[in-house]
Amino acid sequence: MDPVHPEPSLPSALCRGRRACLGALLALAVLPIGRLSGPTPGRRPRWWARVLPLPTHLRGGHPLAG
Amino acid sequence: MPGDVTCLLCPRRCRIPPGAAGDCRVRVNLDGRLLAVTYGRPVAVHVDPMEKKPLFHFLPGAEIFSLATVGCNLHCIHCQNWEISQADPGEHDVYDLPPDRVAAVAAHEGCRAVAWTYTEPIVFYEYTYDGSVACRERGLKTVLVSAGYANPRPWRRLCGVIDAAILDLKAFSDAHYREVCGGTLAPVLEAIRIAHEEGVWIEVLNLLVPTRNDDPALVDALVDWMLTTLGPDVPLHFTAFHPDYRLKNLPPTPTRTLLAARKRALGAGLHHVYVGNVPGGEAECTWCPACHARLVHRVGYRVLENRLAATGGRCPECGAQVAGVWA
Repeated sequence: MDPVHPEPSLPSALCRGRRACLGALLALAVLPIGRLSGPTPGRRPRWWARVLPLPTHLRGGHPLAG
Repeated sequence: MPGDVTCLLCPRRCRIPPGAAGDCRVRVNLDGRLLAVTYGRPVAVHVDPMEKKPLFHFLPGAEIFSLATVGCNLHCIHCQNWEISQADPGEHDVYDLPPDRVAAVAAHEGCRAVAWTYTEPIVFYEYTYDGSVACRERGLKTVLVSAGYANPRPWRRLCGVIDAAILDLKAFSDAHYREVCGGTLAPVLEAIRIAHEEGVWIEVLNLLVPTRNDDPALVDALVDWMLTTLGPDVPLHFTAFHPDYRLKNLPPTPTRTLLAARKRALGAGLHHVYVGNVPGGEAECTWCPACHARLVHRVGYRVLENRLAATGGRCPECGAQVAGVWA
């Protein structure tokens, strides 16, 4: 008697696994995650900076946008 | 993991292990406490013309005290200020400028307003908030230059202490946000809507990048959304891309692209559409939406004539009220 839910044969299970792997790789290549994220999560940043006195001349010609 | 903290400030909702920073680089888990390590430590401090923000309907010609710390929660591959927006807090020398000193120095410099700008003021939220409160106590106006990539609750609270904002809507395309900026569109639209709802004077900026977001259909979609959500009186600025950071393989935006976008937006019903980064011409001036008289004459960042300052924003030719804060 045939089972209602037959067990997959080994080759077809391997094939499914390979398809899943390829899908995951393709998703990683296409999705921008990682390419446009900031620093690696959990990375310890360098955050102690040297503190300077405020310049006396604050006007004129700075290249920063905004 | 035990000891991790979750930052709820922006849609990234970074889960930060002890001693590490979030995606923005400046919000750090220090002994289980979320700390904004750039608080009171700006890396850029300048006095700019209001038109450089660019705010065209908010105190034209006024000088504005402008400052930023390092850090950003977006990572646009064409960022023009990437040296500081994509830097760690320790990579640049900083100034010691706590919130009350921001207000004092701005007033001493004769500025009427203070702008949190250059990078992304959301990531130094506490500094922006406390500084804005201090500035208002001294009678200074407060301005935000932001991409609006924030969660609604903290954003709405910040809007309560902000008088005006130029909000960068990078494209009316979620794919553009994901591929070019490392973010998403929906939170930005909601932030712009909330700012408008909270009574902040807002102007919207759209930087047109050749082949990336200069499709007329995208411009039309952006304009339709503005008309539906914000009404026709919120100004829109189309600005030119210049090759920078990691997007140097594209040419600068042609002037004709900017002017064509302006023509489409005006034709669709927006009252005030400007073209930036291209000095000279009628696209820099403010025109009466009723009688089409020239009301503010600008060349570059200079205001040569402001006919609305003395009239409280009424057109001296036809009496129509022009939206904005004029004096």
